[in-house]
Amino acid sequence: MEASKQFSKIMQGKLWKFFGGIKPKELKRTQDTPIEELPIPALITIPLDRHLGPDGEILVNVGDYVKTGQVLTRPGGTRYVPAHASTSGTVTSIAMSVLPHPSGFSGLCLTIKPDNKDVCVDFNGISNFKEVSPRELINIIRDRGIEGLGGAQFQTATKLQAAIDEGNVCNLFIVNGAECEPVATCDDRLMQEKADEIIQGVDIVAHILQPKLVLIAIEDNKPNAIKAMSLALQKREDLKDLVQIRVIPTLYPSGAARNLIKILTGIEIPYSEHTSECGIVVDNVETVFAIKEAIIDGKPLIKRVVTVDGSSLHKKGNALIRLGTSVRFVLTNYNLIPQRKQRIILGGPLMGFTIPSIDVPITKSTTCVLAPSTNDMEFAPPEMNCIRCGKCARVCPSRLVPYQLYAYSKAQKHNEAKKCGIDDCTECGCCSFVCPSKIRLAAQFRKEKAIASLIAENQYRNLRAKERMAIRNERLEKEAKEREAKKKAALARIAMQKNGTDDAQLKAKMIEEARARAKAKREAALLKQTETQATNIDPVEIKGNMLMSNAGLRQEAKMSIKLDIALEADTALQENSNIKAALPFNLRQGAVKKHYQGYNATNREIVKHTQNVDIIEYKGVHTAIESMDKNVAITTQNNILNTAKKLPLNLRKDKNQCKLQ
Amino acid sequence: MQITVKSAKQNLGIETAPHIRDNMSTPRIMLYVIIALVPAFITTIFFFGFGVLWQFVIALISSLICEVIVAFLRSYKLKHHLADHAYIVTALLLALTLPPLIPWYFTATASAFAILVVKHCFGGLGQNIFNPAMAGFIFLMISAPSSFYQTYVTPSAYAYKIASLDASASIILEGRDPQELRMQLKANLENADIITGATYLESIKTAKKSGIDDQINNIDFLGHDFNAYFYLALAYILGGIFLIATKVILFQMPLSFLITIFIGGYIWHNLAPNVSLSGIEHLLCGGTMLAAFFIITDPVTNAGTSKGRIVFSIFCALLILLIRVQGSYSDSVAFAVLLANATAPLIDVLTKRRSFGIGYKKGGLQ
Repeated sequence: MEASKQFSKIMQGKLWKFFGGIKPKELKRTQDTPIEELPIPALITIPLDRHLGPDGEILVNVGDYVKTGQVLTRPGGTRYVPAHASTSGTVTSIAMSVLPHPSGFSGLCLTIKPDNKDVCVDFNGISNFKEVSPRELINIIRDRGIEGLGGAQFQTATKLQAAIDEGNVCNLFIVNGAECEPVATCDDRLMQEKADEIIQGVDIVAHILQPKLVLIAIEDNKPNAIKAMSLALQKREDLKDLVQIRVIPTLYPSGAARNLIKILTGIEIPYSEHTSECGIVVDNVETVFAIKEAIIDGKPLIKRVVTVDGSSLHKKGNALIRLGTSVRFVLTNYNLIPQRKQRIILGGPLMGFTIPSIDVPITKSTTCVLAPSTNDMEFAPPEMNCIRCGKCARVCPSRLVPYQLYAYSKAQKHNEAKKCGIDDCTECGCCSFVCPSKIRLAAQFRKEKAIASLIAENQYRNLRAKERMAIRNERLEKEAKEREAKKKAALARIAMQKNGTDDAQLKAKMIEEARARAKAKREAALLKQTETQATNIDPVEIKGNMLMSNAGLRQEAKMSIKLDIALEADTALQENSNIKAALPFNLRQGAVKKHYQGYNATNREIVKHTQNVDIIEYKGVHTAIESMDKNVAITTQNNILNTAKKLPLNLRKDKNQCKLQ
Repeated sequence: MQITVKSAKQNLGIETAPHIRDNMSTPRIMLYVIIALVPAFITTIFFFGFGVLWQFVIALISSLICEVIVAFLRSYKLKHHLADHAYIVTALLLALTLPPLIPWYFTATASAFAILVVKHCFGGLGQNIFNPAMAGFIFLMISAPSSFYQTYVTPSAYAYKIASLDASASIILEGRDPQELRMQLKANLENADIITGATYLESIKTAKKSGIDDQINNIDFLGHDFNAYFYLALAYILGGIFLIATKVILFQMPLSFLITIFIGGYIWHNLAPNVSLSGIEHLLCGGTMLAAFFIITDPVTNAGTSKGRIVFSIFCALLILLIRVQGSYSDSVAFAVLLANATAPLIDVLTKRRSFGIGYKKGGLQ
């Protein structure tokens, strides 16, 4: 396909500008400190909320021993990725604990007590990924737990999948090495140290997406990273035509996906659209590196590079940290000398948040851990009146007018705020940065967004409630109508009885009909009896019972069979009694006894059979799996799954092992 | 919110993002404006005498008292309330625009009106619709026209020697007749008889109305009698450049404003020389330069976005031309500015910014 005019411009290396943006002090003091790996901490806490989903399942129990890289959860749906143990040890608890959130929310976390041996599961890498189909590679990326490491933690596999889904063609793959946030240098260091691996990762993603062009965007304040990346690219002859390194001017927030797309392509993608559906995929360098690790080395995402900086620390640098390590451990390793009201910020100084507790784990979205002193970053001064200087409007990369939005938001005019474009706000913090009156604009917008989503949720609930109400009213109406009809019929019957025209005839007819019905029923019941006695019980028929090795359940099964028989007998008796209503009570009892005597013999036989079937079926499952007779294996496994929910916990574990085999 | 007891005990600092901020602050902006007004202030003293300084002192004291009253009424912390130096700017602008020899109670009233009614009745700093200094000026101009015109002085070089601190104090504070001093100042000029009114603008207007403008036409703004206007304009431009350099004001605003006034004046003068001033006279006379750099650039009372501000400037310039040429008052800057202020919200609506991603085609890049 011939490239369009726009595309040829992009190929030639034209750069566009996005609206607004700020140039804060870069403060990149850790640019030249190499990445060092932190030791294994005393405790690993892995938040599970992003790894479970609606029907997710935790695959381990408290007290289990897990190895490094072992899968801990099976997420429900494709929107979530499984969690992996970041070191080997014993699972000590699965309980609520504080999450890395500005409000100090707590959520379900899995805690591992490391044994310091770091025993790994076997990592099966794929050496020749070009022979594997993109779909499979995407599945591997999902299974290895890869999510966006730039801070937003968007699931990478979903992004890639959306880009190559039917109807979508990926034209451009952008590797985001802009790292516009001040202080953060983790991407910079990674590019300097792992340039070759990143290029390999680019190769993998290019194989998945088949783009026409790959751009590696790096801000011009990272000369070393640019040098390292171009050197690594020169080594790869096969990628020379496809991949280009684009040096972009330093301007915050050029690292935000839409702004980066605007810089590199001149296209503004509205916030209502997904970038990957527009033929452009943006991934952070660290994510690309993680993809390489996942595909070629087979390692799941269990470590990430984090910049640790701030004047309250006596040591600064970039650390390779296992996910789940507590912030306290990181700060202790970097010799924190806390001030009064020490702030600990997760993320950069412009978009990061202070945490109320340092006993929270490092997650995939943590790019920086900052411990600034007041010399470094002052406490926020008191707010003054807005003088409508318009500085915020001139720096907003989303082309909003923040002071207007702020006024609406403060006045609780949520509809007006929405009209002003609160949904386009990326909370980049440019407006708060430049505001001369030191108004916390971004914070207000964050709040406004939360309120907006709350309102939307309430509206949705209202709607649902109204629907339910309408259905209820309809039902009530219908019932009332039915009642009316019944009443009418009853009245009509009474009227007819009063008239008493052909009453006796009708009665006789009805009795006759009832008799015929009863006879038919009795015959059918007799037929059934003989059948159950005669047939060799087909194993397939009682398959539902086959797995009930549990004595109690089997007992239940027996009982149910007995009960069935008894019921049948009862019904037969009742029919008998219907016909011969005058039969005395004791005789009727005797009839029941008789029936039981008749059936007990067959009953025992059935139970025997079920036992045999149990054993046979169990063997069958194993032999089927061993012989890899797929159809049989799948059907039997399905049966196992069907019954799985009813089974007690110890049995379920067996099943999991069975599945894993 | 759900902060556990354990986490609350850690006593960490909590703060919303972003954690770093620009150095520029509202007090600093006001300070820059004050600094930028200093050269113009000195020049004004040089050409109009020390009356201006007295006016500034009176206006400052008056507005300070008003601010204290407001802080007391609204139970604000006084220190925090006075931290923005906006009232100093208002006082300074009032001193520069009011007649230098007007009695003190007029100045005090004007500044009280500006602070109390125009600013704080609308909700304080940042909420006012009209420019406080201009509103105070007009309040006085309309309510006390006679004393207003009797206290205006004709600018002349070394006026500060004649209208010294004592001489102006005796008129402003003690209420002596200003006529004598005014005549003295006028006598300082070489061709005093050309000027019929107090200022050049006033004189030329009366001259044009009566149809005898031959004498006063084609004056030399670099000559002895009229260089006051030139140097004053230069001082304002100097201050304006300082503000542009410190990014307090947008350079597009004064630029579009001055260009509109110049071109508009030039065209009107060529079409009807008996009615309108020439372009250069429009630029140098009256409050044009002051308005260009210090009045229309007041962020509170104009439109929000850059585009809106340029539209606002052009509209204000056109109003100045119209009122100056067709109106009955000699100068029109204050009226034009107030009228334009009133239209600022409308301009805000009309120059609404397109939102991000407009013009995006489905499918994006091909």
